[in-house]
Order: sequence, then structure tokens, then C-alpha cells
Amino acid sequence: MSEPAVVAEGLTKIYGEGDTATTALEDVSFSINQGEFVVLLGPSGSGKTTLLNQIGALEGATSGSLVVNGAEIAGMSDKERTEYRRSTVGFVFQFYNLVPTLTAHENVALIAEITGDEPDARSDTVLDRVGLSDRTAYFPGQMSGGQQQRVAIARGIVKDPPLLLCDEPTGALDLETGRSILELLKSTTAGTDRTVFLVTHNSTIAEMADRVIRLRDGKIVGDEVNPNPALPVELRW
Amino acid sequence: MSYLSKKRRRDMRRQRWQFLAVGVTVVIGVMMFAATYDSYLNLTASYEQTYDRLAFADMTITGGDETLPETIEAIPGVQTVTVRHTADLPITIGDETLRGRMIGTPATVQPDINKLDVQEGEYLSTGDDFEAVAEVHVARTFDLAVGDTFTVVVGPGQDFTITGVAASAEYIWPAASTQEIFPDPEQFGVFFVDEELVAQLPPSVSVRETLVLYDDDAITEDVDAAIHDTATGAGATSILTQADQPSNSTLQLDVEGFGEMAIAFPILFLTAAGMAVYVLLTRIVFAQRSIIGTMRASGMSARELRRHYLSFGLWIGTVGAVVGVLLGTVSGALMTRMYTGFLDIPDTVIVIRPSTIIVGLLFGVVVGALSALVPARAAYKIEPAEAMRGAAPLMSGGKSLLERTIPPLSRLPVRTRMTLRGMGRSKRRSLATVLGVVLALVLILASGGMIDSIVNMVKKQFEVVYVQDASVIAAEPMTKDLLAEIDATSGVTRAEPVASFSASTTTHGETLATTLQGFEAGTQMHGWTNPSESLPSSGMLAGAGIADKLGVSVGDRLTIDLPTHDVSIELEIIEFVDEPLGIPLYARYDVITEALREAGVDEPESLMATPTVTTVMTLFDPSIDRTTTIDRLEDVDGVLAVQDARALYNMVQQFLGLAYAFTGIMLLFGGIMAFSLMFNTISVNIAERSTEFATLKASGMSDRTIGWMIVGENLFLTVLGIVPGVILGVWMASLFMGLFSNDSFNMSLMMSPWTVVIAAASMIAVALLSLIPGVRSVKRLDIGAVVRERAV
Repeated sequence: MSEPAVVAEGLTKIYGEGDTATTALEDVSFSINQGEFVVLLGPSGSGKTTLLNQIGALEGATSGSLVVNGAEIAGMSDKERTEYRRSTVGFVFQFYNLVPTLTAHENVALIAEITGDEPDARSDTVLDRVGLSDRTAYFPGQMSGGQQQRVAIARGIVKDPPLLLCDEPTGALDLETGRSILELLKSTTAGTDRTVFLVTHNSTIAEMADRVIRLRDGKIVGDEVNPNPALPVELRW
Repeated sequence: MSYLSKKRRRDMRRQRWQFLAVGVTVVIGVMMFAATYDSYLNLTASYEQTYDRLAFADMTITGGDETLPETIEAIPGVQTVTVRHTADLPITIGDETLRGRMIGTPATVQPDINKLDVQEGEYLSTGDDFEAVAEVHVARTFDLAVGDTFTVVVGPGQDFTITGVAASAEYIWPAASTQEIFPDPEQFGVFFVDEELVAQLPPSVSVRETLVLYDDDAITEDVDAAIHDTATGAGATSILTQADQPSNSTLQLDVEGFGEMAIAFPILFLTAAGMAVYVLLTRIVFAQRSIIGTMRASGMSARELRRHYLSFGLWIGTVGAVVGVLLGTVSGALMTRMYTGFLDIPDTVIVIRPSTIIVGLLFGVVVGALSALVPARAAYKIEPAEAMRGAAPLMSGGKSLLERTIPPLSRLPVRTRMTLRGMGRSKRRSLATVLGVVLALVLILASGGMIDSIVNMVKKQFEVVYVQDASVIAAEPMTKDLLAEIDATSGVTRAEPVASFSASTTTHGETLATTLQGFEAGTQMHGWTNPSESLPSSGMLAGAGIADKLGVSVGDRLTIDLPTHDVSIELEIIEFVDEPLGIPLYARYDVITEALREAGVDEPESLMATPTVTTVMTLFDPSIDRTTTIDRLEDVDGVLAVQDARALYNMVQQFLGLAYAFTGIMLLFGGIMAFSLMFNTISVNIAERSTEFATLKASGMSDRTIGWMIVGENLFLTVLGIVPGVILGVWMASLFMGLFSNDSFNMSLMMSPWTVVIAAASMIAVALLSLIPGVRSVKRLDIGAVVRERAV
């Protein structure tokens, strides 16, 4: 059996100090296998994004341990965290965060460029995979929200990361578009060891997950394996 | 090209007008540096080459005992010493009568010191006693050519034939003396004639001058001091170093001006450019926070990000510097050529200096890099986690300072309160707008203040101090009858005798070459700027500059040497006069006469009456054409020449022509800079809030209302900047004027309040002008696009 993709032990994150201290995560522990499609579910302020940031090494933990692909990231230096993000994780955000002055192709190639050779060819390949081969020369302002999110996914997977972290990727999209994005995310993991973490407050989306971790007030209140994940097309919200 | 470079190129293209405005400011700053600094160095080199080639005297001593030249020659560092005689004599050229300065020079060979640059004809080559070389200014004024003649009106008169026209290092600026740096070109001309002729003239007419040339490796200050001590001990009446020589010291004013400007004004521009880059990049970094976060989250290192945002500043700084250096080098060459042509400097040296190019490039690059440093640092400091937080507001809200200070303001309409709070939402940007106004005002007021001061200085000199319309020079000693006849000439409303002596006074080891003028009690020919506004009945008035120059004060009694009359008189300083030109001495006509008597002159009245001492100053009837009145005066029997005071005024204006042109260009550039800065800060302000404005528009707020909110906010900031800008601008103008002051010009700031008002109003106008593109962009705001792009 391969090693777990992510193992958290007593992970705690506190923002601020003294009277203004806010505990965003408290003693969080879990273990995720490689290739799992994990949904982090919880209401606003439950600590979902904070946990995603921890896994993405975007910010450090206050205490506890977090091992990703065998590497402890809690004690990483800035440089090591940058290298970790470059090689291990891809991100997809709710608001796409595309560079408005670059085309779809260029937005993807910008990231491909920092992670390996042939950025153009790799970018074209992933844009083809997300169904945008006919929109590569479009600027973000010329595309719909769904198309922009597809570019963002292409950008997230162009470096072929073992971990894809998605923060409310359908939050700004309508039902149809949202479902197509979820399908896309699901398809990017098919036949690979890529682990996907998807943060959402939409419990319907949890139906398509292999694993659902529920958070409330910074604590894990549920950690379930879904034996029969639904297809995205079956989801309704 | 990497995709980050592509991103930078597109980002810059997207905000091309803002980057263009910044670029223009960098270009102007670097161009001004390169042009003025190169001009400064070129002019200095041009003068040095001319002075070297013509062996311009390092020291000129008037008077002193016979052994002085020999003693000076023995001083270490002295290379050559020559002696010559000089006399100011009445001459006629055609129908015109003027004062001719006859300078003795060897008959057939160029002198060892103060050689002539013969531009037409030839030097005195035939050995004929009555030949002359005309100095270029007099030759041009009277259209003199080789073979023409002029007549020296002494005794029976003597005709001189012109063999050549030459430039002289001593008369590049045709100053007659330290105190007479603006002689009327139609009333004063320089000729070089056989030394033996001038030497034969009596001491009351000619003066002996000892010219000294130093070794190339001599330490000028040491040799100056040694000669000064020696010459003072030998009774010299005037000791002029090359730096103090009237032509050279006048011209150095301009050169030093270039030197000062070459540093001060570019610094202003480059500071402004730096601020504009800073504001613009801060805005870009701010707007791209989510992208920066994404790039960091995707594994881009802080160093790559810092380099990316730094490259914006470096790029604009480098391009601006390259264009600035190119334009500056060309402008510098043009300015040098214009200047040397304007002043007839014989040699023009134009050199392209790698040092200027390197410093100019460095200026641009360093300004670009420094100003981008803070935003770039801010970019890589952005935690990637921020990208996950969507479009959450990044600054804390709150009431404005004004609302907190004046609580009733909180009851103003919401849109007005929004305007008030808008100023505090980005304190650094608001500060940049205020600083932009301050810098622009400093530049405009420094330039405007200088123009004002020069105009007012000239106005004061020619409307308050020199009140007379013309000076009448008599051919023979002044008589009451001649005075009465001049007074009775049609068009003349008043005539007064005025005595004028070349004088020098030495106190505390310092010598001041000056003039002593004697006016009648109750004179109407001169305006008095001393505290009591009148000429005292005893003692004398002295130019205020004498206090600094000689360390004397009111009540001190000075010994005044009158070298052409070989006599010294003593007069007490009663008060100081504050006159723009020179450091003159004034006393009543009868006080000077009495002082001469006390000094042992037998018949001081006769001495005073001689034409070289007393002229008649006149006031004209303004309703009669002044040329007609001057013609009538010239027709009066016994009148040798009439010197029009207006000609002097024109001469001063000509000298100041370059200063006007230069400060005018500064004003123009100041306006461009102000526009560029304000356009940028205002554009950034609007761009930063495009989502907000789009939302307001979507909610039904009219373009006009949004426009007024923007105008109100930025006008308030402009007004905030005007107050410190005016204070700093006036201070800077005063500082610049001080840099230009010397023995010949007492430059003090005389700024018109209107200049301040106009400068402040122009700031508001520039602010309104620079708002136009921004307000138009709000009108054109594509609400859909803004929402799609999340205000990036």
C-alpha cells in the first residue's frame, strides 16, 4: 500500500494574540490516501480555507504536524515552501485570479514556465483537456466565468501536481457551469494518483466525494468515506 | 520572451498613458540634467580654451609704484608680467560721439598677455602710430570695417585707421568696469592702439595696468594672495583677479547658474518621476494582489516576483533615461552653441562626455529602481493565502479626519462623506498627490520667482533708482551756461550736474572697485533706497553689499581712492542703499567738493567740472519723442555725447534674455510635470475604485455625480498641497536668487503676489485638466468588464 497523501496530527492554527486571538483550527487530525477526491465541508468560518492553506503551505501552523507525500511541511522554510508549492500542489480559486493582460494560453504558460520545459506545448495540452483549445487566444475579459474557471483549472494542473487544492471553485458559477467544472475536476484525477481537496459549504457537492471531512468551529466533526460517489451530473442544488 | 515579461509589457500597455506620463517626467529630468550639466561643462571648457589661447591675465593691477611689475615677476608661480596703459577718451565715429577705451598694446606683435583674436583684417602690423584694432562689439555697433577711421577728440583731434577687428578675452562681455557692466554700446567702445601713444598721455587721463600670467601649475589662490599683498603695499588702486575681472565675473554668473540648475531642477523632476513610478506601481501591486497570491501559491518565488515588479520601474527608468540622455546631449550642444554665439565667445567647445551619459542613465535607472523597490517589496511580502480570500477589503474603513474633527460633517450627504473618506482610503496615494502639487509648485515658483525677481530688479533699477532719461557728456568743463542751455532744450524738463569718479576703497585687506557719484541736494535724477530715502547733507551712502564685502557698517569712515586724480578722500557711511546693480557710493556734489578740498586739491570746483567727472543728467517730457529730444541735446553747442538711459535698460534686458528663456522653459516643464504627476495619481485613484464606481453606476448614480465626487476629492488634496508648496517654492526661489548674487548683482527675491496666485490657480487648473481623462473613463466604464475582471 502506498503512503498516505496527507497526514495531519493535532494541527492547530491561531490567528492574533491575547484577547484578539482566534482559533481557526484546533487539534485537527486526519489521514488522506493518494488519489482520493476529498471534500472539506463546513459553514462559513469553520476553518475550511485555513486547513486548505495549511495543506498548500500558504501559511504556517501554530502547532501540530502536517505531512504531505512524506514531507513534514510545518517546519519548512520560505524557500522550501515555495519549492513545495511549485512541485506538489496546484490551486483553483473561487475568483479564478487570472492575469487580465494575458491570454488563456499565456496564463497557463506563465505557471508552466516556472515548473519545467516546453511550457507552450504543456499549456496547449491542458487547455485541450479542459475543453478550451478554441479559446487559447482569448483574454479573461473575453470569456465567461465558467471558461475562466477552466483556465484556472488548467493552470492548476499544468505542472501535474500530486495534490490539487480547490477553494469554492463553483462558488461564483451557476448550476450547469458548476457541474461541468466539478466534472472536469473529477476527470483530472481519473486514472491518476492525484489527490483533490475541494473546499465548499455546499453539502450537495459532498455527494460526489470519495471522502468527506466536516469542519465546524475549527474542529473536525465528521470524517466519512463515501462508498458510492455520485456523478457530478447527478448533483442538484 | 518569458510570460512574466509579456505580462509586464501588457500591463504597461494597458496603462500606457500613466506610464507615458511617468516616462515623460523621467525624460525631462534626465534631459535637463544632461543638457544643463553638459552646457555648464562645455561653457566652462569654451571659456578656458579661449582664455588659454588668448593668455587671459590671471591678475590685473591698476596703479602702484614703478617697481611693482619687477617685484611681482619674482613671486613664485608668476610666469609673465607685462605693463600697459589704458585711457578712456572721447571719440567720434561718423556723427556719433562716445567714450573710447584706448588700450595700449605692442605696435607690431601680439602682447604676451591678453592677446587679441583677430577676426577681420590684421593686427597693428605697419608700425604706424595711428592705427587701431577695433573690439568686435564696437565694430558691430558702428559697422566698422578695416580701413574705416575714428577720431580721438583730444586737443586738435587725431584720426585712427582700423586695421582689424578682434575679440578680446577681457571684453567678451563688454563691461567697462566692475561697476559699469552694462555700458551703452553706442556710448562705449574698446580699441587697441600702440602702447607708446597711450603711455604718453598724462596720468589724469590714462592708468597704468600691470598684467600677470601664472604658471600652468601655479596654485592660483596662493599666487593671488601674494600678489595682492605686494600690490596693496605698492599702492595699487585696483587689484582684480581673473575671477573678478568685470567681463569674466559677469559671464560666470550665467555659467554658475547653469551649474546650479544642472543639479537642482533635475532633482526636482526626478523626485517627481520617482513618486509617480511609486504611486503607479503601488496601484498595480495592490490591484494584482490576488494574482500575486496565485503566482506564489503556484510556486513562484518571492525573488522572481520582486524582480518582476522591480522590472517595471527599471524599464521605465531606463527607457526614460536613454531618451533623456539622447535629447539632453543634443540640447546641451545646441544650448552651448546658442550661448557662445549669443555672447560671441571666440571658441566653442562641445564634447560628448561619457560621464554625463553614465550619470544621466544612472539617474533614470536608480530613480526607477528605487521608486519600484517599495511596491516590489510589498508584492513579494503578500502572503499567498491572501489570494484565497477573494476581494475582501484590504484597508480598514472609518470616518475621515475632518469628520472626526468637525462632527457636524457626519451629517453631510453620503456622497460628500464618501468624498471626504476617499482621501484617507490610500494615505500614501493622497500624500503623493499632495507632494506632487508641492513639487510642481516648487518648480514653478522657483522659476517664476526668478523671472519675477529679475523683472522687478530691472524695474527697480530703471524706474526707482536710475530715474534719469539721459546723461549729457560735455566736450569742455561744465559751465552754468551750458547747464542752463541743456535745461532749456525743448523736451528736457530738468537737468542736473552729476559727478562720477572711478574709485576704490580698501578695508580689512579687502579692496572694492566702485564708483563715487555726486548729486545735487534734492536731486530728482536718482531714487534713494536708504531708510531715510534721501541723500544726506554730510558723509555718503554706500551699497548694502559693502557690509559683506569689506566688513564695514554705518558710521565707519572710509578712505576712497580716486586713482585717475591721484587723490584720496575720506567719507563716513551714513546709511546703506539697497540697489540691485553693483555696490556704489553716493554723496552730495558739495560734500565731495569739500572732501577734495580737505584732501589737498587746490581747486576742487575745477576738477569737479571736468567732462570726465561731471555729466548732466536730464529728465524728458514724456509727451515728446525721446529720440527727438536726444537729437536736440546732441545739437547743443559744447555737448559731446548723450547717453540714453533706455539703451542701458535694453542692454540689461539683452543680458537677461538667456535667463528669461531658461526660466520660461522651466515653467513649461514644471507645468508638464505637475500634469503628469496629478494625472497619474488621479488615474490611479479612479482605476483603484473602478468596481466601486461601476457599482454606483449600476445603482443609478449619474456620471456627473461620480465625476463631482472625484473632482471634489482631488481638488481638496490639491488645495492641501498648495499651502506647503507655496511656502517651499518661495523659499527655494529665494535660495536660487541668493546663488546668483555677487558684487555686480544684488539678487534678492522680489516675487509678485500675483505669481503665487497664478501658480496656485494653475495647480487647480492642472488638477482639473488631469481629471478630464479620469472622469471620461468613468463615463466609459464597462460595468460588465469590471465585474468580470474583478477590478484588476
